[in-house]
Amino acid sequence: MLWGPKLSRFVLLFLVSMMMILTGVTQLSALTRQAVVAGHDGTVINDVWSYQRLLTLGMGGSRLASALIERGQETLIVDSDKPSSDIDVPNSRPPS
Amino acid sequence: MNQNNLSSGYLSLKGLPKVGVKLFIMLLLSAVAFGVTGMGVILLMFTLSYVAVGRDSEASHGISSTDSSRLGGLAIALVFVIYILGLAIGSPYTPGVARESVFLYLWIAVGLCALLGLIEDMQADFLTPLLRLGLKFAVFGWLLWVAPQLLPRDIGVFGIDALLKIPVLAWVLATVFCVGFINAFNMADGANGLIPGIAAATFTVLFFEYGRPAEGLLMFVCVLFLIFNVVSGWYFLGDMGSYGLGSIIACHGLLGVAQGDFSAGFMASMLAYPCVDFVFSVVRRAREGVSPFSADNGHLHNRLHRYYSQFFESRVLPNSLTGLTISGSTAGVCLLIYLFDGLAIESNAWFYMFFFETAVYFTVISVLRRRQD
Repeated sequence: MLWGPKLSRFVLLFLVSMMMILTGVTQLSALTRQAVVAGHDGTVINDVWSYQRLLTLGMGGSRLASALIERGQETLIVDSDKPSSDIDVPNSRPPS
Repeated sequence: MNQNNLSSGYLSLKGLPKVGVKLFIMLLLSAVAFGVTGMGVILLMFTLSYVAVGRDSEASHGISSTDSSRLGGLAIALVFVIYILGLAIGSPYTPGVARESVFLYLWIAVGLCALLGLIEDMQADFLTPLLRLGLKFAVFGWLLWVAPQLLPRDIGVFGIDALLKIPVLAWVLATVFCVGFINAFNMADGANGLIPGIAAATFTVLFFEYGRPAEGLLMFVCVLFLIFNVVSGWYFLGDMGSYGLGSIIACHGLLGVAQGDFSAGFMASMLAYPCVDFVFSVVRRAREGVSPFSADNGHLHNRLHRYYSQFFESRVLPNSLTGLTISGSTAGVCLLIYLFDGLAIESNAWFYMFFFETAVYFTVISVLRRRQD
């Protein structure tokens, strides 16, 4: 009763939708990695209208991704318990 | 949607032309807003809306005149968890929940509330109302006990501030508020786009204020759910959605007020409709001598829907218009004021906005009652 054409269609649609969602997850993760590698120099954040980003994330999603990456500098931590801005500039404190 | 399509279990697209048009509109809107990812979310919601479990028949709901799924909360939770896990695994960032105990406790409580709702969505009345209420009190009581940072000490209301200075009283009041709030959210989840609209606006503000990925993702998924809900009417948030989103908003609202990031008046005006409608409904039922928590069609959204139904033949349009009118004129207006810097978010002047919304609520409901009763 549970396995038949209807369930197959359900599973197919479910898998296709998951793959489309995972495309966005992968793109967002890749963008955050790129931003960290680039040292948050603004190249990733400002590249809102690139063709690939618009296709995968759309207009709202692309802007949201930029906002996430930009705000991520202040609110999230990268590979340790220090904010990423502190990691990028470890010797920023003036000598006493 | 006819009954045969739904009763047969998983997917049956007999009414394809109508379904197809709605699906096309939803996919188009989601593609413009969120690209392939947005289309994937809409497709997932579409797929889950056809699952046989967690369905509400049209007769069981005050407003909806189509069979709808109660698994909207499950769809939102699935997308949210996939994104959070994907970001945690695929990107170099460590989510705040891994380093701050307050967020860990907060999300455990949210998860428990959502689970409680899911059980109810899967099998209605599996838990007795009293047991459900007791469990909600237990979850929020525990959360506010282990994370007292969530307790505000000052909300700018004379009298209540004095009570909040006493820790035990603050704990009791905050617990009662949280349980009442998620019940209010659940009660108001009647019209298409009402609660999703309010939630999307609230998460937008929270994301702009804090920039945390969780709020950004919740904003994204609530906007997509709003599109799906308003265009198709095939979904309710269900108990899982209203308990889950309600508990996130209640906890982050408490934390924000406790930290002084925004005023209690701001949160009150953002969330005016579910709160005012809940209190008004409880008082109205108590005066009529019925249980304060029994369902009825006396809410403002029921009456507004009845009013709109006179002008449209469509079954979904009056429902969606009702939800969008209410969410747009409450949380939507507050969001616009916030985005255009009309009023500082920390200002207690937001209480005037809340009083204005309350006055509008009572004016509109009394006019509609006079016309309809």
